[in-house]
Amino acid sequence: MTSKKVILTGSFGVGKTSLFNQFIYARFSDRYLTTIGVKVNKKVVKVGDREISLLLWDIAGEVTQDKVPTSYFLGASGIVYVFDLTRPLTYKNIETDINYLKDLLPGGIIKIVGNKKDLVSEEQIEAVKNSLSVPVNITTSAKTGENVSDLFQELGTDLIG
Amino acid sequence: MNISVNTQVDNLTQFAQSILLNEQGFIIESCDTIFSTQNLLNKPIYEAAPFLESIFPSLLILTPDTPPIHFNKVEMPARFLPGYYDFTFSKVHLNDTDGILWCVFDYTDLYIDLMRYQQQKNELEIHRQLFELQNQSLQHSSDIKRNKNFFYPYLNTNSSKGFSVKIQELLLSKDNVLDLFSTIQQNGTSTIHSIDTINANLEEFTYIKKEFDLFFERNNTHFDKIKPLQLDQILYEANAMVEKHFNVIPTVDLNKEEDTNWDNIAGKPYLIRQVIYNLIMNSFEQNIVSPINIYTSIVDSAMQPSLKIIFSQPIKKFLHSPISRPSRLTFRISLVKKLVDLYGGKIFPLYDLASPILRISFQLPCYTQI
Repeated sequence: MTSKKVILTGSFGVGKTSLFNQFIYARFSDRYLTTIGVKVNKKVVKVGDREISLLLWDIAGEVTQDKVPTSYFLGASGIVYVFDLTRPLTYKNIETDINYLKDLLPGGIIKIVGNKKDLVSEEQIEAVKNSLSVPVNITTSAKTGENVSDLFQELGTDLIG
Repeated sequence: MNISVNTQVDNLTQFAQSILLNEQGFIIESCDTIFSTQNLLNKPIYEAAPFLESIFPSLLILTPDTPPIHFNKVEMPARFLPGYYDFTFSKVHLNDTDGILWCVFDYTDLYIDLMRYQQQKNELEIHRQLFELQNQSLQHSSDIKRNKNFFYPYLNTNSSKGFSVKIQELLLSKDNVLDLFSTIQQNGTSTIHSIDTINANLEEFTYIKKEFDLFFERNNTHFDKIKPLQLDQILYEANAMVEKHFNVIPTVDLNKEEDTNWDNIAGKPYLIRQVIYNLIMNSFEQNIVSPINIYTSIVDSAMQPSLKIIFSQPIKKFLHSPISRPSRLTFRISLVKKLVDLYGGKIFPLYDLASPILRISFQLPCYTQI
């Protein structure tokens, strides 16, 4: 089975760990618990008749991506860049961040995810999307689980290529 | 033994452990100062934890010359090595074969303290951001109201600069004004006669106001950043509302031949519309309960025929609610004054303390060439 390392990154408090927990354990907690470094877990995703093991790195949120240790990205195949739809500061630097990540991981798959969609209206989501200079791949709610499996399913499909 | 006794002693004092792995991931040797590797000897180490699995391919491409790779604050699963650790991986050469030296530093206590500190810091920052957003939202609502008040001066300024022909087209086509004057001319038999041009009831005013407010709210309009396209749209809607709800029916008699030379009437007809429009807007901002009247007439002042308009509305209500109404009224009137000035006309209030009616009279020259 193919294994692929995927980094969950973004600013702090955007819900990376919640997405991680929702995807891996199908659970959610309203309590915010900061991640100070990195924790890793894996889950197998079925893509057609193939399976891929996603090794997810849930890393500490940083306001800008250049503060994330580059060693974290060693051997990574994909990045899930998460921002909080309710906090503009979490997508303020998105273009710079994405360009930085593209340079760091040339040819890697990068998914841009707007999380906490349960807290905003569709109109607000559209407004946020329209305000960004980079395309948002998917909007999710780690709380309700909406689009979470779709996100990783899409990612798995892209990684298998 | 590849790991020296000294290293093992150091490991003990530093809460560290050194583990030697072969390139297949099996443990060759471990000082076991933090955790026992006895149950990991029969399988590759990377099967023990996803973290190791995810980095192992990268470790294989290291050379003895490449600097060690460090991973700080790695949270390991409870089933394997519960706690927070720093890891260092480096390639070593062992008995003619390559191996990987994995150094584990247990900083669990330190990192738990750090996590508590960071938790507080992040929570505070998140609350600060959300609080700021709430404030901005409140400020935004306030701005919408404030900007609405600045909209008309903005419009006024831009129209006076010849901002857009569209404004003129939207506010009032010249034909409409000429039709108005033409009707006045046809019916005119006396010098000064009043014309009741606008008569709208409260329901209509309230309905229009709601529509207008909804439009502003819906579009989150920032007038200081307004684009010409948006402005046109707003004007179009505003004009459509006026067109829909107000019926202009002029009747006037004139007996001076020179006053009826309407071929010269050109002026800036859209300004008339702006004047009327703003007075109407002002009226329903006052929550007027009775009809508003605009009286127009043709006057001859120093041989200059002028269109005289007296706008009349009850002021009783706003006099009894002096908190915000007067300032808005003042604003509207000052705006209308600007418009009238632009037109080259005059405007003055007609005071009558005994009457609860506010009357504003203004005269606009009829002969001004564009």
